[in-house]
Amino acid sequence: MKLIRLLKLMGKAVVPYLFGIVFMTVSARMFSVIKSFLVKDVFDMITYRNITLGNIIVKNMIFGSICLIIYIFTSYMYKVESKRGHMNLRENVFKKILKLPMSYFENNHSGDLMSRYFYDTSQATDVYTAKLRRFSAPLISLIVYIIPMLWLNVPLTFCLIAANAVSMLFNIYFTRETKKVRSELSEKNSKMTEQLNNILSGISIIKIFGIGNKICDKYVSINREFSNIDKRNCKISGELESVNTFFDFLCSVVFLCVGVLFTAKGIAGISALAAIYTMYSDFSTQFLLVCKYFPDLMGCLVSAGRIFELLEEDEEQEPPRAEKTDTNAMIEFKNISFSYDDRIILDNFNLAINKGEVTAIAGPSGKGKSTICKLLLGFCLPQKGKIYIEGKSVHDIGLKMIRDIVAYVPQEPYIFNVSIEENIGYGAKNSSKQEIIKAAKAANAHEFIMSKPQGYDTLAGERGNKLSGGEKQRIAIARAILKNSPILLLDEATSALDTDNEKVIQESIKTMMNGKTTLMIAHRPAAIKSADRVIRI
Amino acid sequence: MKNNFLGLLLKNIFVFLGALVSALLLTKVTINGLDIISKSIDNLLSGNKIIFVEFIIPLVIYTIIAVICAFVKVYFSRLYAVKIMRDLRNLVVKKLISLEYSYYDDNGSGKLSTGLLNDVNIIQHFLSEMLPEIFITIINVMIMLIYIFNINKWLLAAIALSYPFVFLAVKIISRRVLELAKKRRHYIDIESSEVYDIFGGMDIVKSYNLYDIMLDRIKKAMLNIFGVEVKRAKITSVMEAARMLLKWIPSIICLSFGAVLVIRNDITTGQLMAFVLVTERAFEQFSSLPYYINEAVDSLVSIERIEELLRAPDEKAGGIKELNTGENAVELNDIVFKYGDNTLFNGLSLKIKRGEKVGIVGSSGSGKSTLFKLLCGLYTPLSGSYKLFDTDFHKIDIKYAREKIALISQDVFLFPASIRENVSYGNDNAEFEEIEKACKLANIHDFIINLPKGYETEAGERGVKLSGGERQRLSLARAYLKNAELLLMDEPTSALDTNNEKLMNEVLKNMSQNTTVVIIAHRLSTVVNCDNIFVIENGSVCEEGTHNVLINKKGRYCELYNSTEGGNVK
Repeated sequence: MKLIRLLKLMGKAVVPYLFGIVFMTVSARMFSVIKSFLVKDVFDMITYRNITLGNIIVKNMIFGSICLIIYIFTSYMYKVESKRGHMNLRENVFKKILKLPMSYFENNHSGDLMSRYFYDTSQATDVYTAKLRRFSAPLISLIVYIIPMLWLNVPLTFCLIAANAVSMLFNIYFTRETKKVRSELSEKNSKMTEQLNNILSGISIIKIFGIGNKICDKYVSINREFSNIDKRNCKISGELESVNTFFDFLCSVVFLCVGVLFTAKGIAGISALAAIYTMYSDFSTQFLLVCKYFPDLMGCLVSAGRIFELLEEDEEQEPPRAEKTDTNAMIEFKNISFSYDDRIILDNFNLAINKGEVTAIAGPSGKGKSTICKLLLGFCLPQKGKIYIEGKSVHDIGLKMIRDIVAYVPQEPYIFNVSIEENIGYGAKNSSKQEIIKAAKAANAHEFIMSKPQGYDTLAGERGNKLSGGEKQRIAIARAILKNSPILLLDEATSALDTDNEKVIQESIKTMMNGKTTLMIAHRPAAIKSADRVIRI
Repeated sequence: MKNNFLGLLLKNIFVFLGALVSALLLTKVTINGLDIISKSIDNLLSGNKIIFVEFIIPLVIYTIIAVICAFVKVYFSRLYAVKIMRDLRNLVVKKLISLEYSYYDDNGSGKLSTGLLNDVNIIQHFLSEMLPEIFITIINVMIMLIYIFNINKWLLAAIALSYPFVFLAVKIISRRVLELAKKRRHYIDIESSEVYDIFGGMDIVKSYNLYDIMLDRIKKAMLNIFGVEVKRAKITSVMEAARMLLKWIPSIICLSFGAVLVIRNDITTGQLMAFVLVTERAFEQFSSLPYYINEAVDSLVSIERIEELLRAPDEKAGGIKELNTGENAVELNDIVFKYGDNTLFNGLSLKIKRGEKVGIVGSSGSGKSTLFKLLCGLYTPLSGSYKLFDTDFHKIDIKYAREKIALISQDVFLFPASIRENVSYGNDNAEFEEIEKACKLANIHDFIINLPKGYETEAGERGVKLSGGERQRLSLARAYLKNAELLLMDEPTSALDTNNEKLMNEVLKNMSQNTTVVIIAHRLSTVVNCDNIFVIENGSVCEEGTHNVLINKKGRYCELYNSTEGGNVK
């Protein structure tokens, strides 16, 4: 069952969590019960005058305090463990997303991925942090209340339960209606969110092309549709409230009639009536809460379903098996066919790259140059054909090792929002500061880094926006130099860099390529000229 | 402080008042019902017969009234929330569109997006649940207190005695809760931006095997959030216990006091019963009040954030809607502009004549794309003058000015609409034939008609996947359709292959004589045939001239040319 799966995902926090929910509820309800018995005792005292007020109060306060103290501890336990479970779930989802194949991160799916991580996860964890308790607490409460109520007076209790049961049926009907409306709302809501995100991403186009009003109008009309559906929701809530109020009054009438009857016939004392009544209002509230929070819980489990789907997605696949091949080439692409979305990008593509050489690949855009990089890194798998490194199939080497021996410098270097030192340090784990500085020097980045007020500790900003294009390039190069892997995959930047440093960057690229086998996607004639071999696609 | 939000609250206030009136009526009717019960019990205890009909009929009437009021109360209070939320969302979106462009740079679109959505959700919850509960609770409690006063004013005094410290407790706790709420939001924002940072660079994460490192980063962010949650849990647990205490002590006091009164025959047993029943409800509601207020206080953080957004400065509006007819299209004099801490331009001057085709080159980071943003009025220079078609730019109505400019940017953003619609954004009033013509000129028409739905194919993130070159050609078609007098092209050939590049140059040649074209290029082959070329370095124009003139200067331009085109000019 979904709920159990969801609970399992909480990890070790589950046990104290459930313990917390149960005892927190029990102690809270016992507290109420004790209060009700105070009422009973007082009325008994008035009627029979057989005990002093003082005794009653002291007894009440002792039991009440015990409950309260238990409550504080168990409530704290519940809250902490639910947040811990929340953290565990998010961690698991994050870990999973990191392992997904690259196709998820290319433009088409990134919005969906974000939505799952942020929205669905928080809906699902809402189960831990609120929804489950809100549903189970009433159930537990009902049990805690029924026992003393029955003890006080059985027939009256049964009458009240019967009235509540009928009310519950009505509630179930209404919650089904609410569910329908809610799913419509959710659909419209995601449309609105999408529109909003588009506005945020495309704001410069919107301003320059003067389409602000048009885009706004689109949003306004979806918003109106959303509100109209929401109004239906209001109506249903109103009707539900009417029904519940009706039953509230009905129960009061029942209570009155039955109570009066029983008292007249001497079957029940007035004190029992008073006590039951004080428990009763909370009792029927709990009954209704079950109905109210059940659909809520179910709604969140739907999101949980999406999380399970995500957790079951295929992770990055290792490349397919292949026999060894005898070749002298460092890297060999054999009969590679790759198509994407019904477009054939590579067809029976063959390429052998020799050790220590710089091989440049040139050609018009869209013909597959970046695809070759992606195939080598295992970001996508060819439909046909095999790739070999030093004669071994990439399957035998494994994705992790391939990425260890290939240093990738993409066209647009991605700089993380951490310090420069950390950014370069991503090249090799546990590298020392000296090693990082050495790599930065080799990439001709050291000077500009030291010229910044915070030096290596300077934060690079969101996507490195605090650095210039040339600075970013050199950090990416430093990263690759630090990695010091035998194969270098360079997707050349198309933009010209700082002219003074253009030479300097070319130098650093040369340093980076020294002694390595380089596969370069070239865009500029200057780069093509510096290669040992040029392949044209 | 809450100007705009308060305005929305007041706009639909009658709906809310309707809900409150119904709530009032509902409680009154409930109390009347309890009164009947109390009198019946007294009758019973004093041995009188109870005539069922006498009390059933009023109870039935009360039930009907109550049922109607309950509906109105809930329907109106939720409707109130729906109306306000609808208006608030529209307000926010309208604001987003008219904001100054620099707001987006300062705030980061990732943070804006999740932040906004979060805040809007919280405000919705506040409006539809918290706000009505608070008001209705206050009303209910007041009515009940009046009822009790009517039974016996000393009973009321007993209650008053029990409750002075309620508000003090609420105040102390809610301050701390608000602090923690802010901290928690702060850490959640950090976690979100870490996630965006990591997901954005997955190719590096995978190719450098950074799985463990990135996991650590997120764990660290999550632990920070967890730390705040633990503190919050302590406080809220204590708070809830306090709430139970708040219900308990008063009921002991009142019950005891009531018992004493009965023994002294100041009130009847039936009245005590009614008193117990009413106070049961009153205490229940009154003790949840601090709790609701605390949750509402959490929402204040979100309201404040939205208010901040709504207060942010708009782009300047208004101005002349006519341009002079001089000989210059663009004239910049001593432009100084800073982007964050970097001084991008410190005295940039250039003149572009009408109808000229000019190129702008320079190293990356020298501000060329930003220059275009300045020309479009997205940014304002710190000092210096900018004249568009011989008219002071800051005097021109900005929307009018932008009608005269078309921009093809490096990063082509396509909306989730059909290709036809995306291109039509160039010119709202264009007929379909004109759109087709623009696409043919941009050499993208053939590609489009070969798509499954042709021009109606959906573009954008969830639509057809286009290569860089295809997007650029769509962007060109869009700009072409606009047929503006000033065409700005930011690296128009960077993603195109040589065939399309030749085509681009053809297009430029065929462009109307009256169109002024400014091209930023890194592939100098694109600007080689321009009427004039500006080389920007270190914040100003360092060289100017035609290609041949600049090559002969053997300066920066020459260096750039050599390094990118593999030229050998020495």
